[in-house]
Amino acid sequence: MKTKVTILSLTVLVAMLSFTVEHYGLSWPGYFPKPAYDFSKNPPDSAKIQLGRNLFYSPVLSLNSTISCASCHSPYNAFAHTDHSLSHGIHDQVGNRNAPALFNLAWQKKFMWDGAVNHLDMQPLAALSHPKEMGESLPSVVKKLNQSAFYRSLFYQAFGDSVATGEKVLKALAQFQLTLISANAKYDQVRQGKTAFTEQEERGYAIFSKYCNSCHKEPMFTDYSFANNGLPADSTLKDYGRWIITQQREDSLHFKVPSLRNLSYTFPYMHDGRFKKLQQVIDHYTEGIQDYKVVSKKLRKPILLSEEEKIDLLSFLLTLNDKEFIYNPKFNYPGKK
Amino acid sequence: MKKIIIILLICFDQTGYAQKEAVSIRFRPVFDSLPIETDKKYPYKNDSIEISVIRFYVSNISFYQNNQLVAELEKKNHLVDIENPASQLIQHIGEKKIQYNSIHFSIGVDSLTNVSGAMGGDLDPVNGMYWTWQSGYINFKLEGKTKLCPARKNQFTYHIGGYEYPYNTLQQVELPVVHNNDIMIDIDIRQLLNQLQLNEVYEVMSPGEKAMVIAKNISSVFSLGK
Repeated sequence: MKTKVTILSLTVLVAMLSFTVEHYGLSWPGYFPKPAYDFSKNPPDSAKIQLGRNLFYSPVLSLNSTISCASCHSPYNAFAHTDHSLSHGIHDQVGNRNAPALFNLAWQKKFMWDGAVNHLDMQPLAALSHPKEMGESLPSVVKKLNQSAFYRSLFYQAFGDSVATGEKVLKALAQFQLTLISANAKYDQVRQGKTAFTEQEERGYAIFSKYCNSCHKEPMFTDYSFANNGLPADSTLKDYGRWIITQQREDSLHFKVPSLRNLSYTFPYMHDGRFKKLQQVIDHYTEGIQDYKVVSKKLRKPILLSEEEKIDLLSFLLTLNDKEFIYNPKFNYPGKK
Repeated sequence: MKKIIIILLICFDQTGYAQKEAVSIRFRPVFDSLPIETDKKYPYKNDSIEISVIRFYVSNISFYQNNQLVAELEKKNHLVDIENPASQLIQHIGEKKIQYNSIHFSIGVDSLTNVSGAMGGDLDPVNGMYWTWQSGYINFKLEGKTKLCPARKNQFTYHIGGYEYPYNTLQQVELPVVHNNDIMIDIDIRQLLNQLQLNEVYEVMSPGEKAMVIAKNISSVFSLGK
């Protein structure tokens, strides 16, 4: 009898852990928080997602038709830009920041490294209009789309009206990006009771929970805040982050806390891509912080780790890579028709 | 017979149209009490001035009788553009007659709308009234040129917006009106320019303290036209 009860309660527990939320045809694990995106205002629909996917991969969004969103947000890098510390746009111009990875965007409230953008729908406007990124304007993109028979047909399928507008372009792009849910890393499989951490990963998880989880909070591995993590300002870029946006001095050198999911695919690291390797990132937090008075409160206590502990931490961090997400064919280039 | 028809017509008028309320509200940017024409030279401070852009949002237009709300326009946000005369005329059609002695509206787009994602119509970012590098609507645009302005090509550019505390630039305007089917609201641009200090502050294109001051200046030059 006792064993039966134990088996039953274990089954219930596993069922609870692997519980999946279904919302407008999208799904994510039950342990994810409530999304910030209001799906009722832009309900996902397969034709709109396909339109958004085509727009995401289309150079029509740039001034000289050379750059698409995917140029700096490649699916094989969890939609980040690899190899370049600072991303480049039209005419090989180099910008000021490292293009961030794109996934689990429905949970994010502010966008860009400095939080300049307040809604996923509006984010494409920043890259579209920046002279060093796509160098275009929304009215001109809408005009080009209205001249394309291919896009008129996609707009018709998505909205029942072939005329492109700014609103439709932005909502379709948001819909494709909302589908980019990454929730099948080894970490997730462990949480769902499908597999277990190795001993080394367990030790790393304990270190992570003690030192990193306050900002890179589970299960999204970010608390979506902005923080000064002790990186000295780059003297050539003079980028003071969130201060520029809020005009509040206390936000100086504050940048978005990025999610740690898929971190092997998203190198280089930090807003200016100054670190190429994860090891350098860990070394920054243990030995690199120069002035503890200016860093965010949660970082004021030094993090002391032995070389073995650093390797343990790294082995846990690698369980956040979601290979299925990287190679999901639904997220790839849609092909030319 | 004629009399009967006239009586019938009067009856029809009373039962049909007379029950409804129809008010036209015209927003008219003026210079010395005359409607502004773009790229026309106006004498100004012993020199001259040209206006090339005046565009702004008028939101939440409502009618009050002794501080009691009696009616509000269904459409919340209206983009008024000096280049598009139709946009300057806003119609209110109500199901029943109302008594009112003041009209209230805001200049700009409220903070909730600013954080609610992509919108269409007058609020579509394609209209050029949305910042791209930082989220938020531009509530009021004024551009032009005068030799009094030391900027490149003597051009002044005021793009006034910002929805977040402490730089929320949305302005409320209340104007006493007499019941009228055609309300004219003048925006006195000469008076606004007098307040702007064209020789010192001539390019304001982001939220902040300067935008806050100018937003208040803007709201002070809306008045009931004659």
